[in-house]
Amino acid sequence: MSLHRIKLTVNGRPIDATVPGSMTLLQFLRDELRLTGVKDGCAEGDCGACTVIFNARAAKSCLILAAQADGSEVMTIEGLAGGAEGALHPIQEAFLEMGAVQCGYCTPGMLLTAKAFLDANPHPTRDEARLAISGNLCRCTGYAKIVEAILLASERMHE
Amino acid sequence: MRDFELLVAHNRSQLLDYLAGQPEGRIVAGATDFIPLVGAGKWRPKIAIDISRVRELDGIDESDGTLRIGPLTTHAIAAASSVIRERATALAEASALVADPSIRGRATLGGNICTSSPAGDSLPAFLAIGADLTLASKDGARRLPLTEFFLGPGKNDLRRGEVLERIDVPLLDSTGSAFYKLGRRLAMAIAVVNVAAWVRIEGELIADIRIAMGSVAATPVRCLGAEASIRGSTIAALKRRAADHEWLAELRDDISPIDDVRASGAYRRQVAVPIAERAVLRALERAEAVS
Repeated sequence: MSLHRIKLTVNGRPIDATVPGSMTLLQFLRDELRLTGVKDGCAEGDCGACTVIFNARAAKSCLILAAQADGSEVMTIEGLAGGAEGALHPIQEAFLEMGAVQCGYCTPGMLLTAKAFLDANPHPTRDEARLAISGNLCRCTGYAKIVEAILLASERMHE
Repeated sequence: MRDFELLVAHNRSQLLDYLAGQPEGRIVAGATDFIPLVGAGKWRPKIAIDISRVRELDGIDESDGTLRIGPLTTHAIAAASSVIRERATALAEASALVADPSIRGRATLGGNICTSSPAGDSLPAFLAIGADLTLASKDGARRLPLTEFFLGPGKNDLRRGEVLERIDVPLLDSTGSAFYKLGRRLAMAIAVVNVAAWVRIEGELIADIRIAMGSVAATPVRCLGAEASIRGSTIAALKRRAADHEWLAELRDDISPIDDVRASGAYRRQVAVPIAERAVLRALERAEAVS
């Protein structure tokens, strides 16, 4: 086993840690940093429940080795709302308003995918929004309300 | 995931030293094949060598009529690159259909080539556009046409101590290419069949043509019989032929599809012809547009 020192920023906080070479970023975030909002759905890159924002892009944390995260900036769902207690991000508000959350398991991944997407593409078409979440599985909602919520959030964020 | 020792290379020189010292080491870059395959026990490396920070392996350069692509180029970069979209269109179209946007942002062209899945989406595109590989080790470098690289499902001619260093694509005038993929869903799908076609025209003639397909044999394949049936004909003759049903039926002798979880061999055999026909006509349309 090899050990690797990594320095990264997670939800705005500097982290300095030592990780085994074979640990994934998902395992590091959940087991070492106790950020259990990042979900382990499949651990093989299919479901998207583990999605975080990694250097400004949505990335599946189960497909990144923790050692590869040295020098990176990571946002997990715990970092989305930010700031004032109880204040939600406009995307979270939109998901709640549109009924885009049922069991909630896919939701952290969906929200972070949506945030990275809207940051890069502030005025998307419906098809672009659907493509953006094409790597995030939802077993409950049938996706329609999630797409509506993303489009609503895009309007709200640029009023 | 089974444990392994990870070596992180920070530059080309260090990478070649690691490869020479650990010739059985498994290279990892975007990790989008590495992690699932190691997790499933299909790959069992004792040592993994992370090349993702070796900047000499990154970048896209166009000079002297050749497009030089670094293996660390991600599918997202390839799909968005204006030079790849304009001059190697099949590759941009293929990369745009890999997995989903988040995986495209991490998965690399070099990894797609070196995983050597018969279904890898960029592989027919690279074969059709005539790619050439540079494989480097501490002892030097060798060039290999991509047509000689794939040896079987997941098997290739990358030797111990070597790394794929560069992919070269010749840029010729009056050419066009196209790519299509059939899958059971529109994202996160391993191809049922994928195809790339490349055409070079000279006046009224189809001077050269390449057709490559994936998921129809043990490796991605060039459809040499189908190519021979078109090469040298006039554009007009091809368009007349294309009015007939199954004008590229020769292609069925170039492929040997099997039944698997995604589709039957019979379905693949049936659908390969119309999807290849579409790719050839689209490539021809694009070649005509620039001629």
